[in-house]
Formats: sequence, structure tokens, C-alpha cells
Amino acid sequence: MRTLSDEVEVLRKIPLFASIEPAKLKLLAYACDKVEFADGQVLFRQGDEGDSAFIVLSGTADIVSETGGSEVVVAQLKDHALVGEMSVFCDAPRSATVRANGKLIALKIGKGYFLELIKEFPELAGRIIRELAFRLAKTTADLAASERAANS
Amino acid sequence: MERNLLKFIWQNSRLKQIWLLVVIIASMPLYFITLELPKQIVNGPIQGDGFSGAGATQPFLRLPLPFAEQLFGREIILFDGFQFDRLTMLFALGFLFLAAVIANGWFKLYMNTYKGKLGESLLRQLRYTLLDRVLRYRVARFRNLKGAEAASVIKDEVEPLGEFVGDAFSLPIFLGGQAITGLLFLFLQSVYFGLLTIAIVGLQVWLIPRLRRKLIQLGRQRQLQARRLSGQVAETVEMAPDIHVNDMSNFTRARHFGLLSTILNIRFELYQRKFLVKYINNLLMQFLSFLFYVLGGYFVITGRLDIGQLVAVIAAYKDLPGPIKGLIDYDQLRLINEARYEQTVDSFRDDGLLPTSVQDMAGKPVPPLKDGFQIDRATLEDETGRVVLENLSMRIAPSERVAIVTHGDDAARTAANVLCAALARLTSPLAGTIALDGTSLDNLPESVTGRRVAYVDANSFFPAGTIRDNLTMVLKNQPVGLDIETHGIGKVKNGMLQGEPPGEDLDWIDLASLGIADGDAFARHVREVLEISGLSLQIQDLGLRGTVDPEANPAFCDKIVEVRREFRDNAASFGVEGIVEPFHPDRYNDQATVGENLLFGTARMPAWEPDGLPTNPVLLSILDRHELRGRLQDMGMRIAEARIELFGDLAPDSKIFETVADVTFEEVARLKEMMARLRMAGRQTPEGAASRGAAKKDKALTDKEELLRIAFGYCEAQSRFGVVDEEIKAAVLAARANVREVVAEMEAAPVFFHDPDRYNPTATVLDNILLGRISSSVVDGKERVLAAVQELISRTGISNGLLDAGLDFEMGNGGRRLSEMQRQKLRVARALIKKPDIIIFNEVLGAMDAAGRRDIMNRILDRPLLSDEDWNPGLVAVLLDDELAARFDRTIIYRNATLREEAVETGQDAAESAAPAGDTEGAKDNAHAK
Repeated sequence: MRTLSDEVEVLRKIPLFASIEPAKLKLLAYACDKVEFADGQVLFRQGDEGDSAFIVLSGTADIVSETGGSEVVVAQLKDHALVGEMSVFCDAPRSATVRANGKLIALKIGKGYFLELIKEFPELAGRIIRELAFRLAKTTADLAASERAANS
Repeated sequence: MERNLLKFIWQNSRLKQIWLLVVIIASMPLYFITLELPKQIVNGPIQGDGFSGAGATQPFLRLPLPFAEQLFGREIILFDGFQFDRLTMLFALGFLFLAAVIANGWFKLYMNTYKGKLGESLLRQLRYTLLDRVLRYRVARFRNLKGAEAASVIKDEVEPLGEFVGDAFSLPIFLGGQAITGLLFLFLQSVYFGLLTIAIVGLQVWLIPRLRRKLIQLGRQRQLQARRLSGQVAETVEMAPDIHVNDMSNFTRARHFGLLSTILNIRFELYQRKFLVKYINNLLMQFLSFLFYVLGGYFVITGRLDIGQLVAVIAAYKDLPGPIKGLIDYDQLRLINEARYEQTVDSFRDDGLLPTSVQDMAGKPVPPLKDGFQIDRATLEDETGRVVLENLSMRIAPSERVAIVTHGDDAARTAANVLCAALARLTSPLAGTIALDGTSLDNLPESVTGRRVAYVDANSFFPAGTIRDNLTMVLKNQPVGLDIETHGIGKVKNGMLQGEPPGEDLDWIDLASLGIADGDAFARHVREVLEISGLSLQIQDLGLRGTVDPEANPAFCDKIVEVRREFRDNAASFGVEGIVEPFHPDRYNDQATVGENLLFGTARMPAWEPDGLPTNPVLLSILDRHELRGRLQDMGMRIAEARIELFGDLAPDSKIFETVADVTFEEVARLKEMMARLRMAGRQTPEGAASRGAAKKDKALTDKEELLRIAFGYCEAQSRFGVVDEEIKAAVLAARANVREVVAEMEAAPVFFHDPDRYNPTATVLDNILLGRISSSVVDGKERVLAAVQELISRTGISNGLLDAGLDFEMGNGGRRLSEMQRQKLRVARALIKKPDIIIFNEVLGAMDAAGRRDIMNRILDRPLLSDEDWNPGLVAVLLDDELAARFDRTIIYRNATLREEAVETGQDAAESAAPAGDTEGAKDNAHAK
């Protein structure tokens, strides 16, 4: 059985939390539910209300976009990725479905607690802003690439 | 109802009152013997009167004929008696005295018991009469009736009457006789003193009741105010949530205090007057003595009266005040009770009572309706007294479906609601008639409408009881097989119901009249009705969370144990493998707390509940045997430290306390203090710490016990502090085995141990099926397990048993333990269960979402409604979902301030399309044509 201290060790390896002091990480670990998903089990569904974010501890998650009844896997998430934080921040419905690809262990952080954490640890907020900015840059680049592809 | 209390008592207990009087008179001689014998004993054997010579004897039990000398001129001796010497005489008289005392005591015992029983049975009669009247009030009257006030009258106000009943006639006759004898004796001694006494007593008799008049009035006021108080208290309880929400508690206090002060003032004045009257009364009696002494003395001194005569007069007078005072007291009691009784009767007076014939038991099955409702030029008003429907004429046949569509319009809804209420007899038309099968509803027995017509709205009240009680209550119209003629119930005489009503515990549900063969078929009927009303699953769920007594229902419990095995063996096929960690006698359950693992069962006594364990001496001695106490305390300390480390720095209002719910800020603060104390104690001598712990014993838990409590409540899988290692687990398992041995030797086992082969009566059905803990780390573990259990239930066919268990769920006062939606569904089920010919749905299921409501209504509209039966009830439904109207035979809408058939033919005048009376067939055709 893994103890809280083990979980803190895992969390420290995640870049997002690397700069947070261990005592606070312990609180984070305590407040989060460690959840296991079987292969194919859904973390959350596109269009659902977002009540929590997940941190992948081990395993792979598929990000699936559902449009007009067909499903497209748009990305895959691996160890230590943060997922589901967008709808937690902006109260929007989930923009995609996330599904476990193989056995997946994740930390589930409740919405209220996640926002509280950011308030208490500004370093974490900075980290998350960076992460989001990276993703935005990537999306912009992808978009530009796909438009070029469509125009040519 | 008789308004005079004495007449009421006489009418209801004539023979008993006379018997009581006979017994009282019969007991008199004995009473006098007990007074007379001591005198004889003292004068005769003790002082030696008549035993002057040695060996002198006196007759014992010599019986001369009374008044023989006056009548026959000589003494006639009936019995010469036995000749006894002095000592024998002492014993003979002594034992005679003892016998007289015993007999006299027995008479008293008999009379008091008799009086008490008489009073109570009359009280029962009175209360029953009052209740009977409440049941016969017209429904409209209940709008202004406060339940608590009626309850206070029936329960408390009439109570003192019971004590009065036994004395009502016997006491005044008894005391009156004594007073007259005393007066007569006085007259024999001296006519003047006799006249004087009569004058004073006359003054008393005239004056005292006048002084008491105000007293009676005050008593009435007090009674009314006390009644208001019970009404107010009940209101406060009912509106408690509103009081909190609107900060009205202080106003409510003021309101109560005002009334309490009024009651105090009335009572105070009552006391002042009461004791004043008492004072005057005593004064007058004493004044008579004064006259006797002064006047009598004056006459003696002046030589107009000889002293012997005065002494005789005073001796005769001595017996007079007692009875007279008694009579005056009786009179006061009578007046107060009469006032009380009148007030009670007046507050229950109602000129519009339903005739008893309306509520008589039918005695035979009520035949199905033939023609249905016939409304003739009826004018109906709403609760405010405003006329909402005029000149309404309409027919509704049995098994016809009539939809009333209001489109949510207020006026239309009011009209429709009033019409439905009038059909259900909750209000009666101002003019015109509503008839059912040709008889006006006013005269129709309730046994016809009650069984052949059902009415559902959103308001009916559920008394406290199980769901089953509340569901089947509507079927309890008359005990099965009761012969009305021989039982003689319902016969009314002098406003009093003679004879007893049939027993509550008889079988009141007549299955035959429902067309149901036996109990099993009835259970099927109940299940179907619940299914239609959409309650089955919810009640099954209640059954799942309820407990079942294995002794009452062994088959079901055995089945649950089988289901448990199936759940365990086939967890994989339900997709819940590994989610539930089962309780295994030889294994430590990681999902359960340390305490649960130690006890490995559920407590049957408070000392073995989780809170009682740290102070449970049996358990502590077992812990000591395994050297666990100290280790668990260390563990408690580590848990406390871990909690302090985690939460110690947080602000009191931190959201983290709200989201991470297992501790509060106060608890963490307490832990800090405790740890500080323990560290201090650790530095001092261990004995010091122990004595400190002992000194605190009565306060709450000592620190050491608190540590144990923390350890017992700890679950490693949840908190993950890493304080439970394999070594501790092994020790706990060893202790568990020991607990089992120790408990097995106890007479009444305080713990029911988890056992895969036995049903646990103290745990819920669900816990019995799982017999384990749902893992906290599996996503949606609880939901998935519940879904699996539901599937298993339908597959193994225990759903009926669960439904049965769920029906035993206590609904709470007003059904408050159910949701509003469930209560509304239950009302629908109640209408269906009695299989009426016409069901009136007055805006039902409003608490449900439209889709769910439509599902239920559609099921009710489907035919056959119940499987294997051709029961086809008519419906009158005020619809909340207009689109359902298409499934009805006729649609009634509100137009031009009245309800009329919906115009289906274009161009037809609205007035023409209103169904003419008697034209139901035409209306049906119209609906079909559409």
C-alpha cells in the first residue's frame, strides 16, 4: 500500500509541482483522490460539467473529440500530465472526452480545492499559466499548419 | 349533544349511579361500627364497666330489636348473645373491631375502584362522542380548526370530569342526608338554635354561589387561553423552519410570553377569589359557633336555658359543619365541571354535522357505479367564497376519460380544482346538485364514494407509520365478515353512540371486494400499483437501506445470504471485481478502520459502538493481553501528529477544511493541545500522567482514551499516513480472534460478528449483501457497486422481498422522511390500490419533472391497467401536461368563465359545444372524431 509520503515523492517528479514545498504537497496528496481506471474507462465526457481536474500518475489517456457521432483521438497524455483543468477554471463544459488507454492511475483534484490551491500557492499558478500558454502556442501553430495545408 | 353535565352523566350511567348509592348506604353500618367499637372496648373490658365482680360476665353480640320499646312497649331481644368474662370480651371486641376495619376498608376499596371505573368509562364515552363529531364535521370546517386545540380539549380539558362523575350523585345525597339528620337532631334539642342554624346556612347557600359566579367565568377564560396556548405551541413547532429563516424567534417568544402572562393573570385572580370565598365560608360557619357560645351562654346565665340542653345543642351542632362544607365544596366542583363541560360541548357544536347515516358501514359490498357523475346547474365557490363556476351541467360516466385542460391559466385552474373538490365531496355546490348514480352527493353514504371514487391532489396528509400502513389505509373501510346487525354499531341514541366500534386490529382489508383471491394476489396487486406509480425502485432502495428481522422473515434473509455469495463469486461478471473488499475472518480489511477490524462485527450495545470502544473494559483488557493498547496509543499519536502537520498551519476559514472533510479546525486545535499535554506528561513521571488521566475521568475521554479513539477510527486506505504496518495488522487479527472468544462466552452477545454464512440483523440489507467495504480508490466505486447490486436483485428475484422490506420503512410525521415527489406518487398509488370506478386527478405529481410525470400518467392511461384484469376506471384529470389530452375521450376547457367541452367542430358555437346533460355518448363521438 502506498502511503502519503510515497505519493508526495511522485508529485515532486511532476514539473508543475516541483517547486512546491513537501509539506504543502502532502496536503495536496491528501486532498486528492487517487483513482484507478480500467482500459477504456472514461475520466470525463465531452459536454459534461467540469467538477475536477486530473493528474496522470501512470498510464496513458486518450483525448477524444466527438463530433457528429464520430470519435477522433486528437492527442495522448502520458505520465504527470494535467488534464481537465480548463473547464475547472472557466466553468465551461468539457471540451473533449478523456479515456484511459490501458490501466491508468490518476490523482483527482476537486474543483473547489484546486482553485483554493492556486490561491494559496502562487508558484503553482505561475506554472499552470506557463503550461496553458505552451498549449495555446502549440494550438496556434497547429491551426496555422492545418490552414496552410488546406490552402495549398 | 346534551348540554347539561348532570343530565349527560345520568343518561349514560343511571344504573351504575344507583348501584353506587346502594353500596354507600350498605357500608354505613360498618362505618359506624368502626367508630362505636373503640368506645365499647375502652368503657367495657379496659375500664371494667359491668365487670365489677370477679368472674362477672357480659353478653357479647346481644341484639335487641331497635325501637321495640316505642313500638311494642317492651324490649324485644332477637339474640341473647354470648356471656364472656372481661379478658375474653376484650379479645372478642378487639377481633370484631379488626373484622369491621377490614370489611370497611374493603368497601372503600370497592367504591373507589367503582367510582374510578365509572368516571373513566364515562370519559371514554365523552371523548369518543367528541371524536365522532370531529369525524362528522364537513370538510370546510377544518379550514378554521386547529388540530392542537381540538386535541387539548379532547385530551386535557375533559380529564377532570372523570373524577367528578363518581361523586356526581352519590356525594350530594350522602352529604345531604347527613346534614338533614344533623339539623333534625338540632331541632329536637332546641327549635330556636335550629332556626338560627337554618338562617346562617341559608345565608351561606345564597351568598356563596353568587360569589362564585365570577370564579366560573374566570375558569372559562382560563380554559380558552390554555386551549389557545396548545394551538400556539403546535403552530410554533410546525413553522419552526420559517421562524429560523425569517428571524422571527424573538417575536414568537413575545407572542408566547404574552399568552402565558394572560394565563398567569387569570389564574392569580382566580386564586384571590377562590380563597376569599373560602374565607367567607369558614367565617360564617365559625360565626355560628360564636352565636352558640355567646347566645347560649347568655341564656344559661340568665337562666332561660339549662346547661345540659346547651351542651346537647353544641354536641349536635358539631356534626353539622362537615357535611355542609362538603356540600358547598361539591357545589363548587359541580359548577366548575358544568362550565367546563358546556364549554367543551359548545366548542364542538356544529349545526352542519354530517348525518350518521352517511358514515354507516355498508355491511355489504358496494356495487360498481352505473351512471357516474351527473352535475346539474351547479354553482361552485372557491375557498375565499367567490363563485367560480355557475350553472354547470355535465355528465361523467364510469370508465370515461375526461381531461380538463387549463393551460396553466389561474382562473381555469381554480375552476378545475373546485370542480374536482366538489366531485370528491370536499366542498358542496351553493346551488344545483351533483349526483352520483342518481343520488345527490349530500345524501350518498361515504361507503359508496369512498370505495368507488378515488381523489388525488397534492395535499393529503400522511400520518406517521410505515409506507405499507399509509398505502393500505384507504382500503380499511369495514372489518371483513363483521355482521352489522348483531354488532349494533353505528346506531345512534341520545347523541351517544351505543355499543363499541369494532376492533382496530381486526382484518379491515376486504380482498374479495377488490376481486383479489388471497394474500399473495394482494401482494402482487400492491407491487403492480407501485410499479404504475413509479415507486417500485425507490421503495426497493429503501428496503436495501433498511434492516430486516431474520426471525420475522427467515426465507428472505436466507436468500440475501445466497445473493451475498453470488455477488462475491461473480463480481467479475458485474464489472465490480476488486471494488468491494470483503470481510474475511482471517484477513485485515484495508478499507475498514482499525476499530472495525478489531471488532469485526456490528455492535448491539452502546458500549461496543465505535464511540464506546475506548472505554470498554472488556476490549481494553484484550488489547493489554496482546500488548496492543500502548501500540495503538502510539499510533493515535502519530495520526494526530500527521494531522497537525497537514492542517496545523491552515486558517480557520480555509476552504480545505470544507473540502477535506474528515477534520475541522477546532479538532486540529484540540489535537494540538492534547499533543502538547502529552509531551509535557512524557517529560514528567509516567505516574503523574496516569493520575492526571484518572482525575479527568468523568469529564470526557482522557487523553489516552482519545488516542485510542483516533486509532480506532483510522483507515489506512483513506488517510494513507503509513501508520498501519503488517505487524500491527497481525496483532489486530490476533486480538480479533480473542474478542470473538470472549464475546462468545457472554450471555447476550454485544456484537454480531461478520459471518459469510449468517444474516446480520443489525446491518442494512445492502451491507448484508456486500459484507465488505467499497474501495475508496476506485472511480465511481459506490455507484458501480450499487448498479451491480440492483442488477443482481432483479436477476435473483429478491426484488419482491426488498419491496416488502421497503414498505416497512417508517415515513415519519406527515411522511416527511420521503421526498415530496415520493409522497405524490404514493397518493397516486393509494388511488389505484382501491380499484375505484372513477379516479379524479387534481393536478397530481406536480413535484415531478414533466417527462417522469407523463410516463406515470401514460401508464395509468394504458389498458389493461393491471395485468390479467379488465378493470377500466374512468378518469377525471386536471392535466399539467396538455399534450396528454389526446389520450382522453373528452377534453374540457375553461372558456367564458365556465368549463365546457372543447369545441371540436369548426364554426360550432362555443355554447352549443358545451355538453348538454345526458349527452355523454355524443361527446365521446366528438372526441373520437377528432
